[in-house]
Amino acid sequence: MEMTREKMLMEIMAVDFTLIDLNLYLDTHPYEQKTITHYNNCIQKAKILHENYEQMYGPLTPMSYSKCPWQWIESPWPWEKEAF
Amino acid sequence: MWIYEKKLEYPVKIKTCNPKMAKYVITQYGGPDGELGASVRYLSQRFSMPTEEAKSILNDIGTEELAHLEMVGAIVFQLLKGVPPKVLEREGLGAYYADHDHAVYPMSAGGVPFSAAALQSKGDPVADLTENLAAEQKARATYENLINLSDDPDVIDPLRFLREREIVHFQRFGEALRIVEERLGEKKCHFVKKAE
Amino acid sequence: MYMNRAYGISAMQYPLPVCPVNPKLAHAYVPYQYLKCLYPPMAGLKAGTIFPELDRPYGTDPEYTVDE
Repeated sequence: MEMTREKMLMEIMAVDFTLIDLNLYLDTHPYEQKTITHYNNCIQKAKILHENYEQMYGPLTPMSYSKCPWQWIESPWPWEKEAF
Repeated sequence: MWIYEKKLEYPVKIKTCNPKMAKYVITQYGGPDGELGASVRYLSQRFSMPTEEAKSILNDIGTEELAHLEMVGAIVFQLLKGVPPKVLEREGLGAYYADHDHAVYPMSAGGVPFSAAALQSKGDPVADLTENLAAEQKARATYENLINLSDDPDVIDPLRFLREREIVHFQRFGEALRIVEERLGEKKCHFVKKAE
Repeated sequence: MYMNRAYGISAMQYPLPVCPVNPKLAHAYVPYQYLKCLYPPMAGLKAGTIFPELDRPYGTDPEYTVDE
């Protein structure tokens, strides 16, 4: 189970990183339609990956549904070795 | 405002503790060319920037630097975790342990606590963006020094990532400077005499 | 005496030229990036950028010295 969580998280990191790097690029290239289209496609992919992860392993941001007890506080936190 | 995402930007998973290395890596947490300084610098400069492109790039790179601050903190934390006090002392971290135990504290490799004296928010867009170009180069050079000091691939891997990000940030600040110069160059400057 | 700069979006010509057409003395210029292609997400993450032309690993640029 832990391997799957790690794999899912790595996939999310990869897509989210694409979004970050594209975000910075578009800040100085605001009129590039094709790049914006690609960005929007990546957003769609990221949303699905985030949703799937959160359903199985709990919230990635506080802006998510939670079961009881409050899931947000669950370990591991990202700076802990057990996170990966 | 900021929302926290419960993941690192890039994984940090260090298997072998190394207090000596932690002593050096901490400089990118609270040192003069570190991520705390970078994020505060950019997030402070963004208020007085002209042009949407410059405001947004300062905002977004400033935000990413907070994520880098977290990564560096994680590296130091994992390098120190579980190391007995006597070993910390032997590796040169006796004074740090006395004041901070195994905690992460923002300071330079030389033990100087974080200071805003290492950064500027000048309010002059060209000066600010040029300072940021220098800041990114200083950070890149520091990461290269840290990579030279380590031979643990678990440590070198995130350092390598962080180094590459500095290069990309340099490019973006350079482009923001081009845009700001282009905009400022278009406008006529009005000299207004203050009433005596 | 102070300079009054006007802000806001003006009729800018995008994309900027790679290098300025009339560079001025005492001004610093960084070449403007033109997008060619992108790394796939996992490769981009490992490299630290999704842009191959910005992928400059430690040791590839002689101006960034590598200590022996």
